[in-house]
Amino acid sequence: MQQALTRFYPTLPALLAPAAGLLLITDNRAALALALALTAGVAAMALLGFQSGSWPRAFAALGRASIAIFCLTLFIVFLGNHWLPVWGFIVIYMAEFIPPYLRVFAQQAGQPIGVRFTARLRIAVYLVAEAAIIIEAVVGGSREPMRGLPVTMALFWLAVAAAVLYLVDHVIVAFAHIADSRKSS
Amino acid sequence: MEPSRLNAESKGAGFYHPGTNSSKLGLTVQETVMTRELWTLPNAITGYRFVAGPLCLLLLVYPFAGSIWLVLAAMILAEISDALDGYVARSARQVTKVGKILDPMADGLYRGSVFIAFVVVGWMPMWMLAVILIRDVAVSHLREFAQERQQTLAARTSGKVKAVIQAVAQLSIVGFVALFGGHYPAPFTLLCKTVLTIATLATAYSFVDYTLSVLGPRPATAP
Repeated sequence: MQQALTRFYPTLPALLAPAAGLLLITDNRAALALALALTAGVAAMALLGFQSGSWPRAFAALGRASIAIFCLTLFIVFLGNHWLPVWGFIVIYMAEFIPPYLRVFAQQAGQPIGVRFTARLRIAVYLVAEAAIIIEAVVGGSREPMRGLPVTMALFWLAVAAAVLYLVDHVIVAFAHIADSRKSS
Repeated sequence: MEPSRLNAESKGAGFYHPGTNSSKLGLTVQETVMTRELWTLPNAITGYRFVAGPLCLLLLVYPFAGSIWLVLAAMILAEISDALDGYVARSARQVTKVGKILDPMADGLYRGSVFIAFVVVGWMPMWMLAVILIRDVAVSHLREFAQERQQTLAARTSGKVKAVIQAVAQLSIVGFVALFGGHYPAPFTLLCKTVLTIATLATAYSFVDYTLSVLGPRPATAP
């Protein structure tokens, strides 16, 4: 039972993502507030999972993926609501899609990439930016929160910058690791 | 001294030390390895799709007279490049690990960009985009998860079928818009919705298939 729970727990953010997405497409403030609560819950899970190391090693990867999927789902809903500039979203999508391939590539070359600081930083910034966007929608009752407070827009572009940093960091590290493995062999 | 010459001579002279990638010599070796694997003809063909995705997005979101025909041409070229890169790599014996990674990356980014543009211009509902993008990101993470469990998540038939159906959906929609200039008759609108729904269902099925192959009772192929 406990083993099943340990397996299930890291996937929880990904399972919550559709619910949060559905809440965000309503015009209801209570639903938006509930989506905010879900985002805060996922942020707490991320903190617990990463800091206490409570996830088994193999399932830590699943947990990281699950949280990334939750964040991406919210950004997709924001894009669909026309709250986000499309170019910012494209950068975030690229940063979520490419690094896992680079990690597999480095691992196949015998030089696995550990959990990078930039990975944790991006998740933290994503969650803060998403919470700020939802808070602005709840408080302002606006369907276009990104056109309200400039701080929300600034936080979103900070999230885009964190995504770029994460992507560039993985490209550099992956290629350096692969080159090292070639030299060793 | 030229980098390639320095590289060859330093290996031959026996003063090549692994792990010295911070030195000038190490950087030269690193650059040479990456240059040789990265700059091949098949990878150049694959590279076109990295450019085609943002180009199609730009032309669809900021249209001008005749831009839809440019989008259609760019998309047809992208599909040709998808079919051609693997063939060229095999026939020219230029199959590299870099190429194997670049191909699915280019596919995902190209198709993702086009679907994102479809949502922005209002041709596609958001939930379909969510299914498609989340599937692509989740499968890329599944590959990593499988690798950590000493498994290799090879390309599966469901993934190939999904790619073909997505390509047909994208080309048919852009083709209809190009032909009818945005005033296409109702049956075509219905057809567009149908192909997008089929593409989304195929994507969802592919996601379940890939997930079960890694997490299910039957493990993925051992390396």
